[in-house]
Amino acid sequence: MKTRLFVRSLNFAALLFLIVLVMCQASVFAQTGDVAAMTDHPSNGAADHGALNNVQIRFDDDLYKLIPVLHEGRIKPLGSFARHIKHNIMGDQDDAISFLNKAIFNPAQAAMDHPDEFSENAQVLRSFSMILPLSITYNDQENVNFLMLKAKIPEIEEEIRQIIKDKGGNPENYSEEELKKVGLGYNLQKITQSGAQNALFKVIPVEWAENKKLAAPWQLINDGLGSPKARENLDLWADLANAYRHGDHDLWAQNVRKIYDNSIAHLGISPLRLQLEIRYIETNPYLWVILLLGASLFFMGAARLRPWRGFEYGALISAGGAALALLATIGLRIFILQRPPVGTLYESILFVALLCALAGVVLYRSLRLKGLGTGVFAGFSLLVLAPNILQNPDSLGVLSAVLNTNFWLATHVLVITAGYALCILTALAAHLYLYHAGGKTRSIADQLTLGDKVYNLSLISLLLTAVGTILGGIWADQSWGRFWGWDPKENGALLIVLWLVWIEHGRITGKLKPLMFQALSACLTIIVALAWFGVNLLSTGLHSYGFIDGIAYGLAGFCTLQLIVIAALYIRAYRSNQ
Amino acid sequence: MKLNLLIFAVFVAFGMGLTYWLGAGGVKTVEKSAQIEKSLAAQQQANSSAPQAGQMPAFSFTALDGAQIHTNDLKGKILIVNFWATWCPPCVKEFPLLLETAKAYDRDVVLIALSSDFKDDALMRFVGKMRAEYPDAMRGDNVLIAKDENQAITNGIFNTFKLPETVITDQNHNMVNKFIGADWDMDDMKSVLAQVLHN
Repeated sequence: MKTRLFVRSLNFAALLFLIVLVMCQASVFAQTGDVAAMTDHPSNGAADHGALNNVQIRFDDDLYKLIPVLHEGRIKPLGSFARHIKHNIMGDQDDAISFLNKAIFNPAQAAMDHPDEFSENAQVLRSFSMILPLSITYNDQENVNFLMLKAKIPEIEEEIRQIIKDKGGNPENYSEEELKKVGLGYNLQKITQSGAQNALFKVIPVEWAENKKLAAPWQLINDGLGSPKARENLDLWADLANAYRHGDHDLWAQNVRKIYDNSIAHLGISPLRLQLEIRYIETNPYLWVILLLGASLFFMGAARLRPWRGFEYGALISAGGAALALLATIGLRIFILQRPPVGTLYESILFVALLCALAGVVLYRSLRLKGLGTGVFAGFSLLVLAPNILQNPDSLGVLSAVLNTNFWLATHVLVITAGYALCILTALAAHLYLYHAGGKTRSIADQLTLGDKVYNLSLISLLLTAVGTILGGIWADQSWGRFWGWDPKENGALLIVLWLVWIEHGRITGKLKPLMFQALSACLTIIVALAWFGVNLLSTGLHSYGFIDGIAYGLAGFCTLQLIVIAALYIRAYRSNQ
Repeated sequence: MKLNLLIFAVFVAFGMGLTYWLGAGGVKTVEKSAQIEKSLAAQQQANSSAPQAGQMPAFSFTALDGAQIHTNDLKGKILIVNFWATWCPPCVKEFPLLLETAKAYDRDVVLIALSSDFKDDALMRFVGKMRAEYPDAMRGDNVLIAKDENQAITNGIFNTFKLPETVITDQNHNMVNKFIGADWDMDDMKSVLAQVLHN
């Protein structure tokens, strides 16, 4: 009977999980199409129309999204670059490819559509200003571009000098032809100046640069990085711009293929990493994980209302699924970025959420739903709060130079963030203990088990945070030449260790009563919040890569709320125990 | 306690595994990277004249003396293709160095100086001045000066805009180096040519 119930529950949970997966996957495919299968064909994604003629043609082919771009110190797919640009300028990432296309191939229209947004971000508009047609006629030649006229600049300047010499500086004295010449000279000078520092859209393969990677079109001119091959690629982009502006999708697709092939061959990289990055950002595993953890909490709530094993297994399977999804997410990031997983604040949140979800599954064995709920709730809360803590969305960024040392990242940072995770679990388990200790129908045996678990978790937390802090000192010694500098981040780590040492000793010596030990363990949420995020607000010290701002009030509110909750739970439990 | 130790061991193993998987090699990183640098330097030395920017596209031009030249006719010679103009001061400053190079390596090197001048008289005046100041070098048949009409070669083929630029090829006309600007001296040029000749 029991086995049948278990199998039915398992089937029910599996079916539910499958439905969620299929729904998510379907929505993703509806937006993007399959990268691997559709590389030669226009995708069925969001429409991006040729802006000049309103032809209903899409210019967001999957292969186009995969064109390598050198941005923020690493090679990333164009689709990822486009999302970064769209977010920087417009504050969102919707239909980023269409936005980027318009900005680079039809900048006048883009600037007209979003004058305020582009006034501060004009660089992207000028990415290809040397190859886009100018609305002028030169020597009866139409559709001339800056590159065609660049060679003529010295000659035009000489002619303008002669005009000024002959007729002075007042344009009223000039003939119509002379005015045109002076106007042309002025415009060419403006275009030259506007492109002088433009190094944003690095997509042209170059051989002469030290790293032999990719350069922005203006760098070919300004930095002397041009070569026959660079010229060939620049011409391909000019044809691409032409295809976009005339709504010619066949020409577009041909050029996308050539540009993609040339770039991949030049860089000698596997396209797999680019494909996976596009897949990663379009699938948005972060949302999947939140959904799964949310489902797990829902099942736990349902199990509490109606004690049926099916709900319990549903909660367990959802939590396991979330942990697996997080593991896959972190693994994918390691592969895409070719570095250890915990290098940014965002990644530390992912890692801590993974450990919380895993710990929840492990704790289910001894504490059933209490253990599972503690881990799942911690992971879920972190992931839901993360977008409010981090100002910018994840851009799979490269690391600060000081962090780019694999050995220390793989030890110090992993150990210390694992310590954070265990501290949060300890604190939540302690909350649970206090809550049940104040309840009327509490079971003494359950209380003892939970109390022991809190103690065990706090010991593991102490071990990890202490070892992590010492490893951090060794890393600091190697990176900065000193073991300890009383830096806010270092002090934050030390604060957790001292807090844990204090409560452990208090418990061992009997100076802290069990209830007080639990209350002080519950306060670890506050200590960790201050050490993990709070010290970053100070914007001082050597850990500048982690600085954030704008969450001071939120953090203060969280700490106050926690203090009130813990105090209330403690007083309730204390009275109940009297 | 056993469980605690097990968890810690798993973390340490994970960290170590990750470190080795990512190729950092743990504490041997410094030693390893020094070895890699050494072997890369050796490899670079060995391949220093290997094509770095591919085969130079063949092109033809008319020298100032009216001779029609095609670069394929110059196979077997190292080419120094200089993009310059008389209105470009660094180009004018650098020109004697190029002539000196052509004279010093007259058996192995051909200097092709493609001018982006738009005025013939300015170009001819400058060439006349060079003939007077460097008669030996300018008399050599390995110095080819031409006006690049509409910068068809300079911009159209080589995508060169920042004058002066100088592309150096090996004997098979693989492009092996490029001097951007006039910030180079005879030692730099000799070093590049020595490597090309050595290989």
